[in-house]
This record gives sequence, structure tokens and C-alpha cells, in this order.
Amino acid sequence: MRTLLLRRVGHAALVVAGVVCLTFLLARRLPGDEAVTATGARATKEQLAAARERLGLDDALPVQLWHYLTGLLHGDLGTSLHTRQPVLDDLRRALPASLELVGAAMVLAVLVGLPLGVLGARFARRGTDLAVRTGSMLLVSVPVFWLALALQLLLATKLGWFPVAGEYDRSLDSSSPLTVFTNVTALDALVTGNWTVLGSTLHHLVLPAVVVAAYPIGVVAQMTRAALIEESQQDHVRMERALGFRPLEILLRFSLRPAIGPVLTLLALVFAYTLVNSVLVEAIFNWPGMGTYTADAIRSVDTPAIAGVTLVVALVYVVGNLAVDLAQILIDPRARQR
Amino acid sequence: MSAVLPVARLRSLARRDVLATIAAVALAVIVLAALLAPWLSPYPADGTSATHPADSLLGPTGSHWMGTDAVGRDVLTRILYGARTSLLIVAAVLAISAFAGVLLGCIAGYAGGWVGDVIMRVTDVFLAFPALLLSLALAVILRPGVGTAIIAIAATWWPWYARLSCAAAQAVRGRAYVDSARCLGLPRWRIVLEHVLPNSLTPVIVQLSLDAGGVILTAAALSYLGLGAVEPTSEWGLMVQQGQESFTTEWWVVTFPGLAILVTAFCFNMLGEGLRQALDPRRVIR
Amino acid sequence: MSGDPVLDVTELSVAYGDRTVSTIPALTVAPGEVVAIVGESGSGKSTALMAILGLLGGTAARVEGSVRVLGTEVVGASEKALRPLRGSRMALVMQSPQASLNPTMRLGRLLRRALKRHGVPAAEAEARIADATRAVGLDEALLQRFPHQVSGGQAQRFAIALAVCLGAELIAADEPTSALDATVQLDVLALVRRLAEERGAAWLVVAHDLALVSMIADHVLVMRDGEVVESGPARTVLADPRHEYTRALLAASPTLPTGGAR
Repeated sequence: MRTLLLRRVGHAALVVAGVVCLTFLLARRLPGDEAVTATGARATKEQLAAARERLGLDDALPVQLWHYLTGLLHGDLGTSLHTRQPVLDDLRRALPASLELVGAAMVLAVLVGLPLGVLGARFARRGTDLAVRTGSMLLVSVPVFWLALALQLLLATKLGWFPVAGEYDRSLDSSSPLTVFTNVTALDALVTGNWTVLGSTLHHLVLPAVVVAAYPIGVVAQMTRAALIEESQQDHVRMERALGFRPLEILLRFSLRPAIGPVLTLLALVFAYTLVNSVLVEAIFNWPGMGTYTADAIRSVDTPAIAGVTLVVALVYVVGNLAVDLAQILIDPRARQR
Repeated sequence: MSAVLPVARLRSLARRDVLATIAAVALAVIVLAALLAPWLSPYPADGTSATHPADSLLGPTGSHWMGTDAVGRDVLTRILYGARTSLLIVAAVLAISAFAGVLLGCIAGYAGGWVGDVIMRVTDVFLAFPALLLSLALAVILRPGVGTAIIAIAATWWPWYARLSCAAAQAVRGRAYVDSARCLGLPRWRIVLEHVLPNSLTPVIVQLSLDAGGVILTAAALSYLGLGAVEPTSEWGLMVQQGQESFTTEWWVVTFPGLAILVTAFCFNMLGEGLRQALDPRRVIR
Repeated sequence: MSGDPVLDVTELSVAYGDRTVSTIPALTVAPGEVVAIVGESGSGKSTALMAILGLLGGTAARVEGSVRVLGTEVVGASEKALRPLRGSRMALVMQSPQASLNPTMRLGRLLRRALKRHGVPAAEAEARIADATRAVGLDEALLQRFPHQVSGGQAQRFAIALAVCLGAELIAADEPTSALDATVQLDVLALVRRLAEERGAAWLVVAHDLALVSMIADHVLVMRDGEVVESGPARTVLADPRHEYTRALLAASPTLPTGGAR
């Protein structure tokens, strides 16, 4: 088990190294000249050359990579061209908001997707199952930006059930100011007992979270259904039937646990995918997260910002994958043995 | 080649899996509509650069079934032409990534050793980026356009095929018939071509059909962000982006292209899912 | 061997589409009796067993005829009607002991859950578990383990203990020994015989090794291509096989010299 863990971690480290190199190459190739940003648009040729020298842009590629790496270790992701702030500071503010959104979506995915998948497996090949399959496939196939626009128009603009955009009602800042710890607004409001802001945040969170959750709900439902149906062909399920257990009981108490492994693995993948999907959704709801930040960065061809986001999300993904692998070892006693 | 596409199994699938069959028929209609766009469209010129400012943002009527956009072009026409763009991107992306992926995967799986290791570790690195993100970064480097979208998406899609065919190639490496072929002194490339490649085709075909829907969505997302197809090309994601400013009042400019993306992606996914169950029940949905 | 039969099968047939895969004209098993169905793989013996337990519901199989377990008709009965019978009246022991046990559940937990499902109070459950594990010769400490942490023989003893624990009056075993080592096979079969005699359960054992299973069976049915080609008391069938297929089966038996070894 120990060698297994070490091998997983080693593999993850190797991937991280590759990710850093690839991001570096992307950052070098991305348009947008850091020297121009550093000196301003009206700089003379000499000033530009000096800036290039100072920034090390004329060095050989391996030397630049070395500088990039040492910079990374000090938390230096460069300076954003459009906010003119260090990218790390920007991300420190934006990432929590995105995690809040994606986290809420993942909770929805498990709360809605898992039961849907169980329902499909319980009534496999019957009407209910057909509905689950169609519904989950629709959720997987819907373009999120379009869903965001449609729900915003329908439920916010026309019906007024939800706020159109924003993270919470900013006018509350004066009446009940929020103390910021984590930058995850819902969490900060909860911890400080700021119920008005918490209520407002949750109200604002519903629409974007539902939109972002569409894909994960569909995938989790499909995966759960498929895994449970496959598990139900195992001998032990026949045994459990022969022991007089009910179908739903067999699904939930006997089949779910051995079948949940692939679903968990998928969740890590879906988490990263969803984080990226928020690029398409956040801007529509004016959610102050990484999605909006990236969309702005794309518009202003902001090289360091894009490279920074790419690196961070890839790292989140690698670490998430690792965490899921480790969790799986704990859940399934068979994996522990291997 | 009948082992690669078991016709009898497909036929029995059609009888059993109603959803996949409907999806296949719908896809055939969509492909046909895309091919015949110049003849089916009520206003073929609107598919590209024509503008009719006088007809700007007309609601759906008898002469414009899906209304017109901000510069007066027929939305139905642009959706039909958009199908061409989307299907072209799908075909190109899948062809490129399947070719590159299967080639690298077969080499890695059959050769093994450090060559295989290097290829598969590079593959792992690419897989560590969510597809849309890497496509985004690449599309920013290149200049927006259909070609950019194809390259940017293909660059993120090939690793999956490499991984698939590497596993398939590893599976046949130890088989007796491959060993006997080696004993006969056949050159390596012939062994790969005749024994290793066919073995990886079934999972690749399944993966191709599963991926098509994802490529449609990614391409639409890139265009929506302004990194994919650009004016005057008709593209569904681009149409949504152009219509979103006036969405509250002129709903049709956004609604119909969005539905087109949804329906096409849904059909591809449903068909892929059906094929997966018929041909390769162990493959994981992604 | 007295009283009404626990199992009474008449004119049972199982078909997939228009292909009949298994027919049994008549079969009864009395309390304390061990009846064996013997045949090669594909002879329809396991299918018959599943039909008798009513486990083919929800599959493409079409079951006709009559199967009465303790007076209750199984053929055509709903899952809901069968559920109270399962486990507590009729139990199943499967071929691959480990695959038939849930990989993520400790043995003891499965045992307690099954007892709870059949309404056995907790205090009585513990007494029954102690009794059943002793009866099958299983160390009670093994109940703390997962299926993959015990040997095949232990897992099979556990499966039998499950049936004993729940008080099943009919225990159907599908190739209970064919996944085990030769010496363990004999132990498990001896256990079956002993439990039949001591506890009076009726056993229906499906096997492919005629000589081996005849050592413990009272009655033997030989099946081939879905049909019963010979049936009679084990001793008679073994000593004087009528059908050439039976003779072939005996000749092919890998285990032991023929002759009533019990």
C-alpha cells in the first residue's frame, strides 16, 4: 500500500513538472509583450530594449524557464496586463468566488445526479430509466453559456425570482458590512453570522450554480446508473437477492459502495471541467470569480493572466485527481490490498 | 474488417436502443441539411457576408421563420450554414486527433520501453489540462478563425486516443499471433499496421462517436468567447454571442442557435452512448 | 426422511425465446435429503436451479410448470411474494464463494443485516450466529474480515453458515465445491451431508462431478442438453448407470474411484 501511494504521488509530481513546462511554453508564445506593458506604450526603443533585458526576455529559453520556475516557487506568476496587479493576488481574490460557485454546483451534482442515477438503475430499461437517460444526456449536451442566458432571461429578468447578476447585494455593504476571511462570501457570512449577506449570497448563487451544475449532474447520473447496472450483474447481487433483500436496498446498501469508485474518479475530472466552464458562465452573471477574470484576460490578450489561470486550474486538477485516487483506496477495501 | 464493426450487433442495437436510433436518424438529417445548405436556405447569401440593415432584428414570420439578426440576415439560413461550420470542425478535429493519437499510442504501446514511457508521460501532461482551457490558451496564441479552433481543440483531444490505443496495443503485444508474425521476420511497421492497429479500432470508433458532442460544445464555446469562427462565417456559438446584447427583447437571435447546438450535441452523445454499449461496454463516459 | 417434501417440482421448463434450455419432469426433495443435479456445463442444470429459486424473474427467461417450495408456488410468483421465502426458507450457495459475497462488506455485517431483514431480534441473532459458525466449523473471528481476506473454503463455509443462520429449509447450492481445492472440496461436501442429517434441511446440489457428489447425495438427476437423461438413488446410478452419458460422466470424473464411499 505504501509503494502504491508513493507511486501515485510520484506520478502526480511528474505531471506537475510537465504542466509547468507546458504552461511556460504557452506563456512565451502567447501574444502580448511584457516589455511593452512594463514600460508603457510610448516607450522608446532603448527603453524597450532595457526592459527586455531586465525582464530576461532575451535570454536563452532554458534560462528563462529557470527564472520562471524560481519565480513560481516565490509565488510569482507575473503581472496581469489588464488589472496591473500581480496575477497571484488577482487569483487569490477570484479563485475563492469560483470555488464557491463550482463547490455549490458539485454539491448539486451529487445531491441530484446520484439519486437520478440510482433511479435509472432501479428501473433499468423502463420508462423512468428512459427519462433519466434522456434528461441526463440533455444536461450534458446543453451549451452552458446559452443555458445561462436563457435562465437569466426567464427566471431573473422576466419572472424576477432571482437577482440578475452579482455575488450579493452590494447595498448591504453599508448596513451590514462583511468581514472577509476566506473570500468565499457565503462562508465568510456564515462564520461571522452575517445572515443578511448570507441570504443575499445564497439567493444570488442559485442561478449560476444551477447552470454550472447542469453538466456535472448529467455526468454523475449517467455514471452512477452505468456503474450500478454493471455492478448488478455481479454474483454477489444475485446472492443478495437470494437472501431476500429488496432491489432498492441492494442498490443503495450493497451495490453503491463497490460501484462508486469510477463515479468518484469522474468527479475530479468534472470538477476541473466545471471550473473551466465557469469561464463561460461567470461573466454572464457578473460573478467576480476566475471565469470573469479569464474572460476579461482573453479580451485584453493578457498573457500572464491566462498562463496563470491555466497553471492553477491544471494544478487543481492534478491534485484533485490524486486526492480521489487516495480516497478510493480508503473506500474500497480491494484497492487497499493491491 | 467485419470484426471491427459488427453489423449484426449494430442491427440488434437499433432494435433495442430506440434513443440511439432516433439520434442516428436525426444526425443524418443534420448532415444532409448542412450539405444542402445552399439549396435549402431561403436566403443563401445571408450565410456569409450579405447584410440587410433595413430588415434588422425582425421577429419570426412567414418569410423569416426564425427571424433576422442585428444586420438583417435570416437566422434560419445562418443556422443551416452554421451546421456546415460545426460539422467541419468536428470532422477535422476528430480526424487529426484520432490520427495523431492512434499513431503515438500504437508506437508507445507496441514499442514499450523508454519511448513508450516518454510518449505516455507527455500524454499525461496534456490530459492534466481540461480541454476547453488548453484550447483557450492556444486559441489566444493563434489568430481567431475556424482553422484555429480546429488546431486548438485537436491539440487537447489527441491524448485520449493515444491512451486508448496504447492500452489496446499493449494488449496484443504478448499475443501468440503477433509473436509468430515477429518470428516470420515481418518488419515492425507491418506488424503494427496489420495486428496492433485493428485491435485498437473498436475503442477508437466508440470514443470518436462519444467525443463528437464534446467537440461541438467546445467549438461553440470558443466562438462564443470570440476565439473561434469570426464574422462573416456562420457559427452557432458566435450567433449566440452576437445576439446576447438584445436577448431581452429579441429572443430568437439567441434561442435558435443555442437549440441547434443542444440538439446536435445531444444526438452525437446519444449515438455515441448507444455505440459504446453495443461495441465496448467497459469504456468509461467522459 | 419423513414428512412432506420441502421442494416439489413438476414439469418445469425454462426457455429463452423459442429455445428450451432446461426441463425437469419431476423432482422432490424431503427434509434431511440431499439431491444432486449433475451434468456438464451448458446442460441446463444451473438454469433449473435459478428457476427453482425464482431468481430468473426480470430476465428474458420464460419459466413454465410448477415449483412448490414448502407449499408455496414459485413459478409466476411476484418478487414481492417470493421475498419473505428467500433466505429464511430457501437459500442459495454459489460457485465462486468470493464473487458471491459483497467485496465491500465485512462478513459479519452481511450476516447481521440478513438476519435483521428477516426480523430476527439482535440478541437472538448473536446466538444464531454463534451456533451457525460452530456448526460449519468457522472461526467467529473471521466474521471481522472482508471476503477477499478469507480462503475459498472459508468463504464457502460462511455462505453455508448464512443459510443455516437464517434457518433455511431448502438450501440450493450451485457447484459449491468446483472453485475449491480437492481436499477442501471433500470437507465442504462432508459438511453438507452432516448438516442435512443433523439439522434436517433439504439440499439441492448442482455439480458436474458425478462421482464426487454421489458420495453425499441420496438421489441423483443426470442432465444433458436441458433434459434429464437418468435419475434414481445415488447408489444405484453410481453402481449401475443406465444411460451411456452417465457412464461417460463417471469415466470423466477426475476425483475418486467409483463406489459408495459414504
